[in-house]
Amino acid sequence: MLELMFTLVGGLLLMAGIWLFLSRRDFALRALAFLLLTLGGFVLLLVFVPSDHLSGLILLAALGLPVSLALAVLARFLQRRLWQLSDEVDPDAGEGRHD
Amino acid sequence: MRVRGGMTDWLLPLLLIVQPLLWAVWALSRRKPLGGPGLAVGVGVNGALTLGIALNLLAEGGRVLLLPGLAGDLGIGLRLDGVGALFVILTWLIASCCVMQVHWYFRDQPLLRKRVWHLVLPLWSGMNLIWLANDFLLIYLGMEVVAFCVVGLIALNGQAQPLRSAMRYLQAVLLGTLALLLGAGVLVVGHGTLAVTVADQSHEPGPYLAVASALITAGLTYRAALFPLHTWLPPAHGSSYAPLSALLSALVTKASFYILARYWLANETLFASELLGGMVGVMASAAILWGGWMAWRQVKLKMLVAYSSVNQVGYFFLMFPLIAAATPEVAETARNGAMLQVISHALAKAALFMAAGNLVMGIASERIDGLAGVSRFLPISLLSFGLAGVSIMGLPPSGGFLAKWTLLQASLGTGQWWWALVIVTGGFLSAAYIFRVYRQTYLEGPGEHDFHYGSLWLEVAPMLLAFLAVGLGLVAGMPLALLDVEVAP
Amino acid sequence: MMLLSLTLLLPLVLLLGAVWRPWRERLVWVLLPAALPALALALLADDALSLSLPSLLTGLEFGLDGLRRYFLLLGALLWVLAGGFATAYLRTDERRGRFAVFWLLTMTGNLGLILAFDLVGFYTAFVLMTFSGYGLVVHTATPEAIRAGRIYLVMAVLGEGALLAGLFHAAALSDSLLLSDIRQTIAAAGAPNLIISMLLLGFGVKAGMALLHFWLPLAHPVAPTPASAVLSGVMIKAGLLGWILFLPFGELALPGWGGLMIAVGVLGSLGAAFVGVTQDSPKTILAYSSISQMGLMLILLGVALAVPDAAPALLVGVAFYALHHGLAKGALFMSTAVMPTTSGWPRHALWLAVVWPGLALMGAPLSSGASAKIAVKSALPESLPDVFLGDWVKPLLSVGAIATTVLVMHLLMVLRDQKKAGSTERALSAFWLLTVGSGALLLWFTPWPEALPMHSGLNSGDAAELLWPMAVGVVLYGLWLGSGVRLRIPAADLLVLPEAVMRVLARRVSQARRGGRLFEDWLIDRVHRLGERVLAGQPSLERLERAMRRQSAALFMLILLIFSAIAVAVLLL
Repeated sequence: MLELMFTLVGGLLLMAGIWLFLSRRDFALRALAFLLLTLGGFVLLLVFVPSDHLSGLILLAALGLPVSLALAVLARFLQRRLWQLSDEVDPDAGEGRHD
Repeated sequence: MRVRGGMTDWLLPLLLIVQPLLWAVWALSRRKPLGGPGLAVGVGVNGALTLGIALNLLAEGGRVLLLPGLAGDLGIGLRLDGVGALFVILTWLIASCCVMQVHWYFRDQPLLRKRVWHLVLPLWSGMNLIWLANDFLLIYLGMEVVAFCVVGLIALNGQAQPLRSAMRYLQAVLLGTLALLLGAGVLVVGHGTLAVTVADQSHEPGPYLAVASALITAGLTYRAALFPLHTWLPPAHGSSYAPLSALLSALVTKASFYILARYWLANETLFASELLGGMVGVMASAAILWGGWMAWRQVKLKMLVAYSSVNQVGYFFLMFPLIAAATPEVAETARNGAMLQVISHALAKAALFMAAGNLVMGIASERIDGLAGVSRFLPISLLSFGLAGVSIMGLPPSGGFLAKWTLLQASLGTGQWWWALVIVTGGFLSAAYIFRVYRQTYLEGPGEHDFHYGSLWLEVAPMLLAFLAVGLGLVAGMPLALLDVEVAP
Repeated sequence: MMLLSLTLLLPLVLLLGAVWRPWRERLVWVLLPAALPALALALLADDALSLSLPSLLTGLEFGLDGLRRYFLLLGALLWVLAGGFATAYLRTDERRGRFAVFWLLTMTGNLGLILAFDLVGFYTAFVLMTFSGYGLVVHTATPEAIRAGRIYLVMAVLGEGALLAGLFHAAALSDSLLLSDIRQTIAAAGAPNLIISMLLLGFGVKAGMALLHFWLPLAHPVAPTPASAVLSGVMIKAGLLGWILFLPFGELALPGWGGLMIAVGVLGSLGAAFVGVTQDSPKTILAYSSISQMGLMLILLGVALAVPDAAPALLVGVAFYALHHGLAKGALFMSTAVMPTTSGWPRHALWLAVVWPGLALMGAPLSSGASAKIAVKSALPESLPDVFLGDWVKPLLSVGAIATTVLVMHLLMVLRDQKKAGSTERALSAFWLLTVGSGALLLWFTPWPEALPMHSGLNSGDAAELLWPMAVGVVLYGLWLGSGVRLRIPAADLLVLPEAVMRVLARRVSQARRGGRLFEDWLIDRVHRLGERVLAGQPSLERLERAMRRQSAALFMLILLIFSAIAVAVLLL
């Protein structure tokens, strides 16, 4: 039961991440997509992990997720800086600058 | 594998990893940027620590230091062996030269210099962590520290174009490390260890190891800039400041290759797949040919050097098809060849970028055809460029030649002679792009033009590194001896 | 052993002086002294000398033996004499420091490969010499020099590639990297054809073998005169030495390869003379003469390969021939820069010094050329069974001698008509005369091998054999010249018809000769055009790169999928 839930949640997160990645070319949103993909991947792995290997997975997630979040924040920061430098684009428009 | 956790064992490696961070904290605390004496002291301390580790290693042999408790059971800790020590020494050499180069290059820009120290020194820490880590957790930590610093270094002056290049690099980091992370997760799920060397070696590769290897290999090839995932590298390295490009191209790209090499070499009995090796070999061959050709056709000098990195990365990755289906002797030859190639390339590429930076600064133009007549003003930088070029081309007696020779031997030894063809063709292309620069400097410039001469100190570091690169072939016995120090099972 | 190390190290040590600009200006003065240890080594050392450096690279070995001694003597003499010549020649040149650097590097490479006993040492020195030579060729930085340099470089790189392939293949088959062992390995190999073809091509580019020679007539003339002297005198002999050291002479009878080498040698010796006679510039004529002489030596090597018993004597003969040719060619190159313009008896005396090396090349009695030719002829075997052109070798060599005579006559004629006065600087003239003298006195101070008869060419049998090709050559050249000149024969109607026929023939022949040069230019032009078409595709490659950059994330997913698929496949199989 628990496993089914984890599988569903993980799958949903993965799909959300993939959809976000493919549909938006905005750099910061793509970073967010990666975060979702990471999270989804770990949740899926939770399904398969035997209990004695669980601690390792938790450790990895405990380090990996915050760092991925920090990287996503860095991506957003870089993007805003780039918008400040370029004259044209309105940062609130739907499709942001991409690269 | 001798596993010990005593305080004295941990002291030296821990200090080595942490020292640049402390140094960075000290730099943060000061108002003015670090001056010559401060840098010299830091370099000296690091050098002493490096030497200490190397001597310790030669005396007591390789070993693994695991953290106490649960972490230790997962394999988290440091691994001290010949390969790691060799890279620590290489890092010290190149980073010290880069530190000196940066100090003189940015002499008139204290603000930039301050920012640089805040980034370069943690980078150094991260690199040492990567070389000495035994497990994917610490490797991941090291790689992310490095990634943060590299993004900052690429976008140092905050202008739009470098910023875009930094973002492209960040994308490579995000994707590549994601794959690495998930691969490590699969490994821990399947085998219960985070260590790079998977301990329980059953006879067949299980599904977990297979999936993990695919993820890890893909992620690391992205960060190492192997064709066709190399496109982030030329803008990033070609548009940042030359001494920083030297650090990036010479050391940072090696980290991903290092991890992948460690992983494959440690687990080859479990995952000796000719097919995967062949695929990597195809990508490597394409990298050699594409990178070489694009380098030849570049208009700007630093872009030429950056594409040369794309070209040379291919040679490293040729190691994988050569060890995937080989006898132990041939595999060792292939490994030695690749490691020699990595070391000599690191030295030569750093020299190349630094010399290119001097030349570009001198003629106040980035274009190769602006180099006409520069030999009158900057003969030493030109000579450094030339000598480093000799190693890149793989001409004797440089390290590049010895590496090429060793790889050719391995290629013939495994019967996969087609790689030898690629290596020789790559040699022609390297000759083409290096000689293009030489030929340009032969042409006479339009009389006396404005020439900006930096300090003589700027020419010392590239000269030193270039000599090392060329002389490596003559003294290759020493690094090869160090490579043989391994952790006993 | 000390002398050997000094020979190799002294130029390198002197190079350190290039770092500081004031020293760099004066570096030109060390060119002569830098080669003196080599001269001492060549003249004084024992034959069995060796130096071992096992810890460097893959283990370096240096040494000297009988055969190499000739090459070392040639090298040492020319580098010393040309070095002195260069010091005087470049006294006022602004970029002389740079020239001196490349000179010293090239010299180290040249001497190094003569003395190398192991494969990697030989290859290192060969590569050093080849690539440093580029600096000598493009020194004047004129458009012609840059173009010549580029062609030199491209062919050098291709040759080096072929060489590496061949050498590496041989090394892979052999246990040790000593040249003597490598040679045995090639001889014992089951199918040495690939290796031999690679080595022939690789060294052939350097030696100016016909069809691989295109760089030579472009590069030798544009270099400064002292550089031309060493390029033609010594550096192309490196290719010759390479052939001698690696091909399995005396071990194996390879009539097929021998025949091929003879054929190519004939093409070179006659073809080069053909084309050379149409040239107007003395240095270009000399370049073609070098190609022609190397063709002759290739014929001899082909015979040696086909008939192993004759090989030892023939090889020594070839070495001595190379020595004589190098000195004569060096002297001739120097004379193009030192044209005597003073009138009266000094001019005539100096003319003798110009003409003498030419006579030596032709093989006039009493000259070094005579001794060389007689020695070589005596070493030729009686018959060459199963060899292509085997029965014609002796006649072809004589035809080659005729061709040489015609070419030398043409050179002397062009030199005489040269309006531009050369430099009369005393130092230049002194070194030039010393070179002429060394060539002339060669017989007396060279250690002569017991295997070959020592003849000066004075006795009647030899003299006749030497003189008839010269006579024929002179007559032919006179005819060619005369066919452009009105024969003023008074009222001899009978001669009108033959005269007209001769004129037509001569015109056809000279057109064919000019065509030879045109062919070379056409070929180079074609290669250029092909290159340009290839390079025109660059924008589409750039577009591809940009596309890869935009889609890098997608590419990554693709690579990941492929890797996963492979992993799964490995699992299932």
